[in-house]
Amino acid sequence: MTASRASTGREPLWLYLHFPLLALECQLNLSGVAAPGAAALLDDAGRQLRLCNGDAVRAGVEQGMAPATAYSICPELQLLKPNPEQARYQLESLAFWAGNFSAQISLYPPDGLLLEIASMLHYFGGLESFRQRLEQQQLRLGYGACRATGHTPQAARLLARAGRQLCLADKHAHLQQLQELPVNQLELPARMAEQLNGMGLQRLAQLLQLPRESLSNRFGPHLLDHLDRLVGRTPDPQSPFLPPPQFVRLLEFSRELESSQALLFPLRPILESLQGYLRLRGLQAEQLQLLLVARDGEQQLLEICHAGGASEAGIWLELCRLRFEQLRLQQPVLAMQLLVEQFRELDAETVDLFSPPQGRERPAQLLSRLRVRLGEQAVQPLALYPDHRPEKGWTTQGTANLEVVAVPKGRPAWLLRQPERLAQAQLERQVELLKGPERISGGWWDGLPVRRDYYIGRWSDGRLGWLFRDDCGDWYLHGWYG
Amino acid sequence: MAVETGSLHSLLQKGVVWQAYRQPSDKAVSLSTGYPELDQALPGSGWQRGQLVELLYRREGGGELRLLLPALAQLCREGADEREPGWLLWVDPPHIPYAPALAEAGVDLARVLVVRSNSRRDRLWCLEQALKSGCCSAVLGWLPTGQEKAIRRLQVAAVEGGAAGFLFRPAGCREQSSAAPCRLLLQNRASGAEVTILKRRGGWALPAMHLLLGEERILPAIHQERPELRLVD
Repeated sequence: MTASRASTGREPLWLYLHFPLLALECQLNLSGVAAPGAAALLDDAGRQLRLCNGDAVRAGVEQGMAPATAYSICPELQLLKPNPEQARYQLESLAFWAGNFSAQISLYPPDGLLLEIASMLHYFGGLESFRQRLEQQQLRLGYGACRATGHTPQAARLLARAGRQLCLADKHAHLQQLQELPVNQLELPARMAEQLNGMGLQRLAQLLQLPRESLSNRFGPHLLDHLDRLVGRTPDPQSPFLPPPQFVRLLEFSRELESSQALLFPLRPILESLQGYLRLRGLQAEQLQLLLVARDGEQQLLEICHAGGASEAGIWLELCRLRFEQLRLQQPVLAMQLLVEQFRELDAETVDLFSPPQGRERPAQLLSRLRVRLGEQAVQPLALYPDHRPEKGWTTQGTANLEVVAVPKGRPAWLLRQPERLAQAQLERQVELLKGPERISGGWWDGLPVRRDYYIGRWSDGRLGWLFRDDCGDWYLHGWYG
Repeated sequence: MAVETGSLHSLLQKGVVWQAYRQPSDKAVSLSTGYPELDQALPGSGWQRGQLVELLYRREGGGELRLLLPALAQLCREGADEREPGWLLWVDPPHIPYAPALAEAGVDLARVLVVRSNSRRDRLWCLEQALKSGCCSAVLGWLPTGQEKAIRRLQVAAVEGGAAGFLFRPAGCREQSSAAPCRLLLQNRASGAEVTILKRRGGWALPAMHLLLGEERILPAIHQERPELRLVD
């Protein structure tokens, strides 16, 4: 262990995020309201309050109260039943989110995440800026967390669970903090903690001063092992959280959402999770599929694409917002599922080395934004198409290759959508034919044959038009030399 | 936007007043029009990136695109080596921009995007987004009369994104005030067109100049015959 540390030249550093109110907050956040008010979570039997949010505590409600007592203190209190599956699901979402900060994450159900951060500090420019970034993003997350660093996984975990908000880099500083921990916060079996307290051992420091043999004899090898892993005497390998091949998140709202704009609020944290997920896997998303489930069970699928692939939550949120602006909900929405399965490899060069300076968007990104707001068909490329008929000589498919198409010369820059009939009298009065005829014929192969004689004419006001006479001798205007 | 106080500062920002020392000269900002006569008359010898240019004309067919095509081609040549060259974005053109003519003029079609918006609101939104995105080399838009406020916003966006912005507008806008720092009026003549610079930074309006606008290539026969005709005269 020491040897490997020396070889990488890096002290191990861990960060533990403890979400004490996760089981309560995961339900509140699904109500789609920014400020849900006083709320508490019941225990499994429904006899006591297990968790209270900040508003409830301020109103005087305490953990362990009977529901009736709590109601008498705070009549508007929202009481919720525990839903362990949902909490577990949410912990996973948080693990994705943590992908923004670490490449190695471990789940500690029911309410904790462990992040390896020593290798990340370099990218974030040091521990302090790492902490700032984390704090900023955490504010938007909607989950309260106690976080603490540690030189071992267990040190970080115990310090966070003890409510110490720590952000230290040094091993000795961590040891010092650990030694202050009371014995009953060491997560020892309850009986053992009692026994130790009975022996007059209040803090970890006292425990560590005892001879190892006598500790082992009296309390068994497990205690010694636990302490060794805590202080870093023996290694403590962690099982990493592996992101699945697809990103799927389902939100079942606890109330009906009536407007499409209201969907943005719960969507934001999912997109931040998506960003972390993409970072973990080193990918970019090309398409989001948002499935909205209405009250009557009807489903609506929204596909939101990014032409060049993107990972940032802000970009996707903007695209979703634009899409929602175009959306009229027939029915209130009860649930929303986000599925992402179209990825592209993160082109490190594009993103990091040659990424445009701040304020310059990537071309693909603008294209995506315009398409999301105006519709897929509203924004089209332009290309040549090998066909002699002028109206077929161009395409919006963008597939034709310039090299294989001979560019016809002397064409007007404007083509009318439909040739415009010119009366003979108008022609004689207004138009002076300056060049022509140029015979254009073709199309016998697809049933739309043309045989026309094209001329360039000057209108009496000086403008230049492109006109033709068809087989029947009728004159049409087909374009302008704009 | 902040409330306008009427101070000199806000007048400067609106582009109503210009300062002589701000005469643009940066080569990187300036973009040749492809017409030497016009270049000479324009501050900085050409169109300016990050500025709106207003082109006033009566009806399509008078050379309003031919006036721009050399500059668009120049933008394409400049961006040819770039990894992600900017778009040439056309927002709600009145007719179909005809691919063969653009290609012949040297415009790289792969960089052209044509937008068809449904409403004036969407059109302005799209123009603003494109101008300020910083990933468009040129943005072309067609706007009716009025729109004073919108044009001011678009000018701000153009400055932010550094794109060359061209607004095509009816000749009737001539007397309306506009935040665009450069305004040109195009009037057709028996051959070619007369271009009048109505407004330019760092200089007064100039008398009209006569440009053929590429007509000599479209109608070579006519323009070759001219000297002979004069000889006969």
